[in-house]
Amino acid sequence: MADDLPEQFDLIVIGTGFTESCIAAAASRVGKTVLHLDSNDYYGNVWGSVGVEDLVRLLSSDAAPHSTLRNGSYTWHDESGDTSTSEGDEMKEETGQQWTRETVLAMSRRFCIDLCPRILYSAGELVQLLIQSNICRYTEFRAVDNVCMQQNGNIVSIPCSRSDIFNTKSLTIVEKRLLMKFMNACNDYGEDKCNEDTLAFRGRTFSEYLQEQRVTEKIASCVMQAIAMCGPNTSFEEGMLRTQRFLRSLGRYGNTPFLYPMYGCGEFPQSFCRQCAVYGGIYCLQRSVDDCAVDANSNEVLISSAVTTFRAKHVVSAPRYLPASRDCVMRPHLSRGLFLSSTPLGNEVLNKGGGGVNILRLMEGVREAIFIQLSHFSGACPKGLYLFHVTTPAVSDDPAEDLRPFAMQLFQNSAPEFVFSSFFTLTTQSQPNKGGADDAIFYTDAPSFEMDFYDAIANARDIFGKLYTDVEFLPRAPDVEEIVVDGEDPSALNEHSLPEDLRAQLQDMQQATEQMDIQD
Amino acid sequence: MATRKKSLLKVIILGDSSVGKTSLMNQYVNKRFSNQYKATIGADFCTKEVVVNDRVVTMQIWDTAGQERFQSLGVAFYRGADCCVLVYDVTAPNSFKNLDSWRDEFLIQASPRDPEHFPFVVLGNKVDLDNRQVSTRRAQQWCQSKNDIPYYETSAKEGINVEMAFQTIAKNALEQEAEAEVINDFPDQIILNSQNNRPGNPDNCQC
Repeated sequence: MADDLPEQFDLIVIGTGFTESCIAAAASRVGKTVLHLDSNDYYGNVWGSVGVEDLVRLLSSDAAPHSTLRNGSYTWHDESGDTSTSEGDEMKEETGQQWTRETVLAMSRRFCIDLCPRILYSAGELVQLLIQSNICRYTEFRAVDNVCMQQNGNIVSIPCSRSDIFNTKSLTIVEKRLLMKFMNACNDYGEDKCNEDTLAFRGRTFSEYLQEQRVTEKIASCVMQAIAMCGPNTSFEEGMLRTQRFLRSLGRYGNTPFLYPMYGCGEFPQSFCRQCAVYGGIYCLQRSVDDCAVDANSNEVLISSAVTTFRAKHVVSAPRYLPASRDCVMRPHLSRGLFLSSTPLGNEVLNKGGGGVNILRLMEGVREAIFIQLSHFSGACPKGLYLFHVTTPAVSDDPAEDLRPFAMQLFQNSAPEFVFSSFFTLTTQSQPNKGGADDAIFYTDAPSFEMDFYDAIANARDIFGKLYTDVEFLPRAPDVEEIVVDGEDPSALNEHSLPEDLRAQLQDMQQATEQMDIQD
Repeated sequence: MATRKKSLLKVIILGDSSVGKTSLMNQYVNKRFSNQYKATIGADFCTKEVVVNDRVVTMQIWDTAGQERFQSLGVAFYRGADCCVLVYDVTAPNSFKNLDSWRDEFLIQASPRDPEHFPFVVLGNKVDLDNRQVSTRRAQQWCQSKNDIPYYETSAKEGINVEMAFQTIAKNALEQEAEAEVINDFPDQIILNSQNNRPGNPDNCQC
């Protein structure tokens, strides 16, 4: 392939997942030359969002050598011949759409199905990073409509803001006071290190702490399930940290402390990649790596792809993208369930105006799962359909079996009208042997079980820090209007568009300012 | 559901590498031209206010950031475009031939609701050069065969026809929107920036 690419780079990044894209953008931003490759014809790898057709292909085909997705299976529910009618028909009439395999596939590209869905804390790591780097200009969000919990088999929205707590009918006045008091205590936690109330709980569980606050059963489960999102064994410190994270993200946007990216989480890798490209990074999708070696003399990494050999000081790769990393044993890591339904989950109150983005954390003994409902307001599916994501840490190689208890909890009381359901496993593996290139080749981690992108950003920062010391990680990128072209007088830009008389005025003003500077 | 009077038009510029996409954008927005060819470094998107049919609209013009070079533009780039500008170089016949695939690529990736009537504009750039290889007639014929796409011959270097072309781009983008009477599918969208990132509603303050 004669593709007139440069052959020498500071950094070659392989795989366009979240972590790799984040590192690529950060390196390019500080002036490193970056080549970014992916074997896929889409961005994001397992961090990406795909249409239905692509999803079905990923689930049914033999996995590509670089893929970490396994155990895929799917079912179209309209093919069972079961055409019984129920309450769901109201919804269908409204949109005039009968959802079948054909109608869904015809709109395949209107779906953005996250392989690894996430929800962001409004004041969390990623939101801060996007704002700080100005990469937020490529993204739009939907505020999560409801943070839910289960109560007597029903799914209910938990009150998040002060006014929600005040208005809710599901809590008694006493409970409201207790909840407020508890939240205030959490908010103040950590500010006074010697607070004796909390000192006593160090090294114990968050659950024990809650018990001793004498909150009612209802409030305890509300805090455990929805606010702190922790289990019976979560430590006191971790529980407090998570509660604070929740509280500090409140009141920024919308009614809950969470955001979901419009068109799915696959927008993030693409936003980072665009930033990298804007600063000169070169992008080649559908380009796999055939071989990777280290030049003993120069210590450079040689990457062979098609007929070209690229040289780079450093290489960052997603697991399994480099042939050498494919010898490692893959372990099931996350079990994923993915459902399309023509009715939303839960009652009318939870789905006002056709339903929005709702999240629910589920517990089953010590195991946990996160459920996310997306309506068309998220841009992730067409109007009249709902996308349900369920994710749990894998305990076996059978994702459907791993998710069965959670699916029971979710769907036993309100049976949605499923159109499509699917299961798959996302795998992880140990760090591959780097063949003596410990300082030159870095592997990113597989997606972990988390709500936001805290682990992924920490992983990106860590690798970036090993590549380049004392360089800022993703400093703010100026808007185009602020960019000064080499050799151009910065003021010339504005002056150019000004009429003669104003230009003279501007010059006068500039002179005046200069004089003021001297006086200072 | 409320209909939206959109005042922001997203315009994307497509075409082979080095046909002058960035230069056209720069000439139109900043009235300047640089002969130095940089494979689009630092070019992101520009905004410009234009008056169309007595209405002030903000045109947001998106450059490819060089990701077109190896056909690696992601779907996010195409999302929500109101008009697509296809550019070729009149001295490079291949860049003209590739207009077909750029148009197809756009229609697949952006999947507009009404692909038949989606507004494209074709620009034949670099008419200031002597070694022209694609005739006006040939280009016009192609545009006619694709549902009468408006066609302009431009020079980003000399500023020829650039203003007029972009005026048409803005007008067609806006007209298409008026016809479709776009329903706001996504109310309450949140855009992050340092300005709106502070707690607003005092009622929603931390509990």
